Amino acid sequence: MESLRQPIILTSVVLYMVVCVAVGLWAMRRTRSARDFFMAGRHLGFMVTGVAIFSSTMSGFGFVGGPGLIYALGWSSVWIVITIGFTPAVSDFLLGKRLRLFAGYCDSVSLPDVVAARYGDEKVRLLTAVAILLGVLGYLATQILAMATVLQSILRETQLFSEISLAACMVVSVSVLVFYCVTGGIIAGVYTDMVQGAVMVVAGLLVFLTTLAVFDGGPEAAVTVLMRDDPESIGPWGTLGMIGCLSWYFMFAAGGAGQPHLLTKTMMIRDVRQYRWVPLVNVIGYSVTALLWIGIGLVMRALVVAGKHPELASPDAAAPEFLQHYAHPILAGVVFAGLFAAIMSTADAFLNIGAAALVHDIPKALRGRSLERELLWARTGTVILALAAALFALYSHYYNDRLIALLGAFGWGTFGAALVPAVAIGLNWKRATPLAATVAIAASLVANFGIELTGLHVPGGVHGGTVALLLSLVLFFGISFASKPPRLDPEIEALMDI
Amino acid sequence: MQLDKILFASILLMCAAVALATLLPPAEGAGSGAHPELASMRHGGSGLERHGGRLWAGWLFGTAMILMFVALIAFGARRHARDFRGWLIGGTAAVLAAWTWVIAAYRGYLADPDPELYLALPAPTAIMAYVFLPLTLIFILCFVLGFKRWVLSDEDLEQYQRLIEARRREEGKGGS
Repeated sequence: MESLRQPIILTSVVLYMVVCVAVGLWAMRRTRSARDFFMAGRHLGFMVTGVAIFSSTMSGFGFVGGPGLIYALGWSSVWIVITIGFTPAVSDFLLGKRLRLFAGYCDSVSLPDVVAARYGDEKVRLLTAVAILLGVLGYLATQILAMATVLQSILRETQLFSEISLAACMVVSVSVLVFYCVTGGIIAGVYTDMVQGAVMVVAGLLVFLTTLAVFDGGPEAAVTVLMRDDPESIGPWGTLGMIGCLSWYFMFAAGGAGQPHLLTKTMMIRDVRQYRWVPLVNVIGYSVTALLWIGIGLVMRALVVAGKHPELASPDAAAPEFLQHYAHPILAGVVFAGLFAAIMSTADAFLNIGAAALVHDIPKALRGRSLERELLWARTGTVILALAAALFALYSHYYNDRLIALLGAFGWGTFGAALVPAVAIGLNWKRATPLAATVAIAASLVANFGIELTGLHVPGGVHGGTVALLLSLVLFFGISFASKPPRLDPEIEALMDI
Repeated sequence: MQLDKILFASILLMCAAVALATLLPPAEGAGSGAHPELASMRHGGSGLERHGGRLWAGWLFGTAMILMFVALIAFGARRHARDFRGWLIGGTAAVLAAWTWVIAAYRGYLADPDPELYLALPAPTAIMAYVFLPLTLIFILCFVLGFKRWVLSDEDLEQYQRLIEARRREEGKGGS
């Protein structure tokens, strides 16, 4: 069986890609308009919506980066995982029904559409779309690079593809991604998310159960090794420290209400009454999948500290090394497919909202109307965006990884700082003004870029994203309170009264 | 006091907690660093030196954060927040109690040369994972189980349907 490990892994990944292509073809028949392409015709049930949200949240970071963080820092990154308590609660109480009601009433196909309707101001739409596009480019580039890197590491274990280049792997993986995203739009995206979510849950559970048996003496023995080596590593703050952990917790929990790739899925549910079940599906799926993050990270750290496994070349090798050495070959195959699933489920969400920003929102903000033949432009925009992100990823990888770090920093924290005030608060607060929304979004972009460009370290271990989010919230409230209460469109006001 | 002002006050409290965290001078000789033998890992150093005199500041940071999250939840449920108040207060009290317990247990962990494990984790980490996290799920349960009472009632939905119908009639008039 061991000799079949690489063929099993490769077969699992290929099989998964074939399923994605098949879903793309199926969805293509159901995609007849821009509304279908961007909003799945607003026909989703709660299960599809919930699974799509959790699988878009748990990107490749959860499968590779997360275990790597625990390996390197100890318990610290678990503070990101346990935000599953507050994140859906904050986001869903603020926006669960609100976004869907707005989207249905205004027939919105994007988040900037909703923002424009709320504030009656195209400048806010434009700024929201630009923030989304910039963030998407950065996020997408890192996801594409991750896909290509993983595929290369798998293929190089085979004789036939032992010399395959990163660029070639990128062509293969991006082709599959672009195929189902172009043919089936978000319908393909959410239904591949269903497949991806199922694979991720199965992989997460099986891997966690495996990690319980890997260390001689079980989890207690592993934790005892960690405690003897470094008590802080298995204490609640890990090696990062208390304030660092808490500022991560703050940024991920509060920032969840500003993630456009998740909020857009809220707008797609068929019946707003069904939304009550979405957080339950989201929490269960995410929690099971996160067990892999914690299990692999802790066990690999313990194995290396105990001298039972060679030190890793880099923390990100924690998951691949575990799968290569300790997981049954079939499980390794499932998990590698799960890893691709995790990356693609996030990438397809970003591709879709990025295309909406590019071909729907920015033209509408500048011209006052959408493009003619919007579905064709949506498909074209998807290809252009994927190509741009792929080229950016390659350039950054070979010539200047500072660039990808710069836009990669445009991640959860920046979306949170840009969109929590204007969207999450603004849709619930009649006092919010267009000026406050504009300033908050602009300030968040400047703050996040500024922190990354200057390499500023906020003292005390506070994460820069925390500062940016608080800054934009204070500006948003301050400007709104200082301004005359805005006169709202009576229909919008009635909608906000619900 | 109106909910928007309460929420803003909670945000300012969070800002104060962050400012306090940044202004406290770092402890001498403390802080994590590279692991002495394994370059790919960090090492936590002395917890007592790193956190011993600062747990109160961290407790304030966490408390301000929890209060702000609850204020955001209340803001989203605002029309029904009066009915929801009991659950909000009770849930907040439970989460804050668990949070305080984590801090207290950590203080004990720092002083204990041979800590016990509880379901494979030392006490403060176990409380974080098995008590604090489940309690934060209270608010999601409130959303799921109290959806009709605190999020979207049947009357709300009827009002929404009336708005949709009125809009369709307006659009019909505009098209003719």
